[in-house]
Amino acid sequence: MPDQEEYKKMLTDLIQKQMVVLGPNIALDKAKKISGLSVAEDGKVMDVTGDPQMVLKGVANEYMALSGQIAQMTLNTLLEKYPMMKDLGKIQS
Amino acid sequence: MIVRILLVIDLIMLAVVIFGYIFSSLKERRYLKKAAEQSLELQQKVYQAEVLKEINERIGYSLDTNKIVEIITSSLGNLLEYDTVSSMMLEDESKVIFKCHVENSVSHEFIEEVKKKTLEAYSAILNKEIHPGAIDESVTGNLLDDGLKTTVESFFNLPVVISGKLVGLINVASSEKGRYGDEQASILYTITNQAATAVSKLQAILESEKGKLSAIIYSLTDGVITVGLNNQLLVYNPAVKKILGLEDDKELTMFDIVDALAGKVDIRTKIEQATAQNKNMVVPEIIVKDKALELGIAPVKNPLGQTIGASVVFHDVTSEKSLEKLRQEFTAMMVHELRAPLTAVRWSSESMIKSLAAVQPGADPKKLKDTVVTIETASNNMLELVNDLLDVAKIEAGKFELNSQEADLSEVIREQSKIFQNQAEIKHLAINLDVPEKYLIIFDKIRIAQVLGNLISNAIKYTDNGLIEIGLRADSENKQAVVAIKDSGVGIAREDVSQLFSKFKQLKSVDRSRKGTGLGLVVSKGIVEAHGGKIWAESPGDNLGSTFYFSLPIKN
Repeated sequence: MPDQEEYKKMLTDLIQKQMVVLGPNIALDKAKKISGLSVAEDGKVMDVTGDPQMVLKGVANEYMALSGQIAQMTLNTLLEKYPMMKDLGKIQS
Repeated sequence: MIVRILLVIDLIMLAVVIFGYIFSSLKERRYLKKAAEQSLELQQKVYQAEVLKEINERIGYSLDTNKIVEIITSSLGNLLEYDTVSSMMLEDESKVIFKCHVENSVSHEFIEEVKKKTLEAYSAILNKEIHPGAIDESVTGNLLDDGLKTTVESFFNLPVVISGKLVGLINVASSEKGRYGDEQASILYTITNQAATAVSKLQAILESEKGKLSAIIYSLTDGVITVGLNNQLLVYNPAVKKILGLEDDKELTMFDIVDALAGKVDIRTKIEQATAQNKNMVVPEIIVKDKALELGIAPVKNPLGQTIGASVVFHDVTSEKSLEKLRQEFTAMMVHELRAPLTAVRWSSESMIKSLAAVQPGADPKKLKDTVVTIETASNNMLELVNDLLDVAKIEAGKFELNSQEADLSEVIREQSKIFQNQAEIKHLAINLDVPEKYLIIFDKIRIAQVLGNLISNAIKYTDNGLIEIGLRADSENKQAVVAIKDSGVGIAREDVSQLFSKFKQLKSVDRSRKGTGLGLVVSKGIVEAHGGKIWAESPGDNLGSTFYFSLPIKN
């Protein structure tokens, strides 16, 4: 089970990657929609409140809803880096 | 006091009226706001549908990914403001195609930044560094102005994914900060995704159709190739290699085909002629590695009627040619078979005329009788041959009719063996029978007698010493009566056994010294099969004798 800091790292990686792929404005707008998540303008996650797993799923779902296949491609890369994120692989766009 | 009370009541009523007014006003405002939001949402959806429709109409049935990305890119101007809209496509690992349309003048630096950001996004999606060797770049629209010192302040990327594959990336950039919000971009993502999904579906349908077509071409026994206008080989099936005698495990090239046909036909020139003259061509007959081939060349056109290549069909006509040769041999043999008795009839007739002219009282009538007997025998032989030919014709035309009724098969076998008894005795051959006393089944007595006659006659003809054994047994498991005619004669080579009952193939194994056309076996096969039975032969080999079997169904 990853701890809070690991979740923040994963979320930062996910958001910053989407900032490169989709563009910073949209990627940040989507992340900022998720309650319990505080993100800086460079995509770094400052704070996560509540269930971090739910926050992670919420962010991933936002990107999946925007561009399912692309989000899946980038998520797969993150899954390789963070195997404990395996639940993300089941997220439905 | 009363006045005070009335004043308080008035004030309360006034408060109620004011509160009621404010409440209804707030309610109305909320309603109007909601209606305005719904109207805006509806307008956006209609607009989105219109843009999507326009994109779909422009894409049509195209599967050209360059064109699809270009169409989506050029339609974005209808939806939002930007300084540049660009597309990036990766042709292979090293070649990048970058197209940029400048709506409002920007600097070269701006374009470079867009290119860099798009390339970074491409690398991030594919999860690998892209090091373009060369960038095929084109910039259209407004003139670039380096004096503007513009930089990319806001941008977003639209990945175009068709059939699960990233085919391109569209970048929308502006020199204005915070230009693009989540809402605007979401509409564009929806439109792009819907357009890509539509194209993916079309591609899947076409791939499925292409798969079916490929399967058909792949399974053809004729060799098929398709070449482009510059003679490059586009499609071929495995039969081409087989027909041209080329290695099966090697990838085929046009050079292999040209080499295989060298000295026989200049295939490249023929293809060029067919495409230039826009007509089908046939190369009648060429011999390649002991095979007779016929080539058909046809121009291939696109839906607009433009010639885009040619297809060549390699038809192996070796078996047709060999059958034709056998037909000729068969005709020659028939002529020969008829000529011999006809010569005998003519010779005997001439002889008889001479004898009759010179006939004297008291002349020997035996000589005259022998001559008439020769005519009769020759005529019978010819009649037998013609009857066989007629039977074969009836069998082949499916007009062979039986007159089946219950009869004793054992009795028919006994009768037939008796008929051939004298013929066997002349060759010092014994005919042994192993048949039940009585065996009643339904069959055409005359036709089965004909089959037995053919088989017994052959057994005697091809046996010089030993004996002929005829047996009848019931195969109760398969509900068949099986008749076997076994001889101790010349036997049949293993490779000829399967060809015995073929009209033409049979010829090769005929021993010319023993006379006969071999048609008897073809007729016998037709008769037995018309009964629903089977006929076959077995032989251990040359000079080891042979056994001919036929079976007839036992019907209740």
